[in-house]
Amino acid sequence: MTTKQNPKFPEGINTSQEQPLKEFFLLVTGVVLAIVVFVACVTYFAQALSPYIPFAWEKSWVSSVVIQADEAEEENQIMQEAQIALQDLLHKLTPQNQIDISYNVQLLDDDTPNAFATLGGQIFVTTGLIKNIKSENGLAMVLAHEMAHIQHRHPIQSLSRGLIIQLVSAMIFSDSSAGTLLNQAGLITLLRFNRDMEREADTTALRTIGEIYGHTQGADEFFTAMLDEHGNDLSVEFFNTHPNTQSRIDALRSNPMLHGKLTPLTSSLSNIKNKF
Amino acid sequence: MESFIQLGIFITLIFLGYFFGRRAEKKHYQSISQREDQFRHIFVSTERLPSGEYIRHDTQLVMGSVVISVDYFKVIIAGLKTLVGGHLTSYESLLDRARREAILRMQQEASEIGAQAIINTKFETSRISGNANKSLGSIEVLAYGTGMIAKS
Repeated sequence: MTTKQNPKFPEGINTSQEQPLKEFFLLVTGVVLAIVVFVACVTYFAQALSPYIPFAWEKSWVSSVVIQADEAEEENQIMQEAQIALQDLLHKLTPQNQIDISYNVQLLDDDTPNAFATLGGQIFVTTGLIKNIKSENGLAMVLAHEMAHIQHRHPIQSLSRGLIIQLVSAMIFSDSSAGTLLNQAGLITLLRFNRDMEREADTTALRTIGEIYGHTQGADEFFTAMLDEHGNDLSVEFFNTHPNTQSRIDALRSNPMLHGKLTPLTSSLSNIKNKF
Repeated sequence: MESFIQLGIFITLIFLGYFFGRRAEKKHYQSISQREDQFRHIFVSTERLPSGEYIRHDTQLVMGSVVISVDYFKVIIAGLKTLVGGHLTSYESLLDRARREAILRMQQEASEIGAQAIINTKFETSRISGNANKSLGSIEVLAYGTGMIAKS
C-alpha cells in the first residue's frame, strides 16, 4: 500500500485576495471621469464650431413643416387667426439687426403645455401652453426663450454633439456589459450642459423682453402656471433636461426691471383659451 | 428621470451580485478546503503512466464536472476591465473554484469505486454561453483521469 498524499496548496497564488469593491470603484471612477471629460470636450467643440455652420444650410435640411388642420371649419378659423397673431408677436420680438437667422412659429393643437425650437429656426407652440398664459408678456417670454435657443444655435449643437456621442458609445460600449452605466454617465453629463443652454436662453429672452416692453413683468407666467399645476418637481436637477422650475422663476424675478404694466393677449390668441 | 431609474436598477443589481456572489464564493471556498482535507489520501497526478507502486492496479476512468455561474458584479467589473486591460481577478477566483471543485468531485468518485490514486489527470474548461452577447454566462470545468484500484 502507498502512503502518497495530495499536498496542501498554498492559497492566493491563482486568486487575488484584494477586495473587489476597491477595484470596482477605482474602475468606475476612472472610466466615468474619462466619459465626462470626453462629453465636455465634444460639447465645447460643438459650441465653438456651431456658429460657423451657415444658418441657411440648417434651414435647407429641414423642410418647413405645415400642419394641415382638418377640424371643423370654425375651429380651423380660430387656429389660423391665432397662428397669424403668433407670427406677429414673433416679428415684434425679432431684432432688426439680425439678418442671417430667420424664425418661423407654428401653433400645434395639443393640450400638453409645451414649446420647443428645432433646426432651421422652427418654433412650435402648443395650444395647451397658450391656455396656461394670462398676458402677451408671458407668451412673449416663451417665444423669446425659444428664439434665444435658435439665436445661440442650440438645436444644431445638441444634434451634432448627440450624434458624435451616440456614435462613439455605440462603437465602444454597446458590447460591454457595463454599457448601461457608461451610457448613463454620458447622458447625465450632457444634461448638465442642457441646463446651461436653458439658463442661457432664459437670460437672453429676459433681455429681449426688457427691451421690447420696457419691463419684465409677467415673464414668469408660464413657469408659475406649471408650478401651480405640478408642484415643484421633487426629482433631483442632476437627472433633468431643464433647471428646476422654482430656481428659474427666482432667476426671472431677480431682474431689476421687474415691474410694469402687462399687455393683454390679442383677441385671436385669447380665443384659443375659450374655444379649445 | 429615466436615467435615475436605469442607474437605480443598475446599482441594485451590482450590489445584489456583489453581496450574494461574495457570500457564495466564501462558502464555496470553506467547503473546498474542508473537502480537500477529507480527500487528501486520494493522490492526484498528471503522470501519464503509472509508477511502480500502481503497476498491478486495475484502472478505471474517473471524472468530476462542475458548472458555476458568473454573478452580475463580476460581469460588470470584467466589462470595465475590457476597456483598460489588466488581470480579470474577478474571473480568476471563479475558475480557481471550479477547477478545485472538479478535482474534488473526481476524487469523490475515485473514493467511491475504491481507487487510491488518479493518474493522467486532465482538464476541460468550457463556457456555457446562455447569454453569449452579454458575456453573462456560466463556466463548466471537467476534470478526468485514470483511477488506480488495488486488486483485492
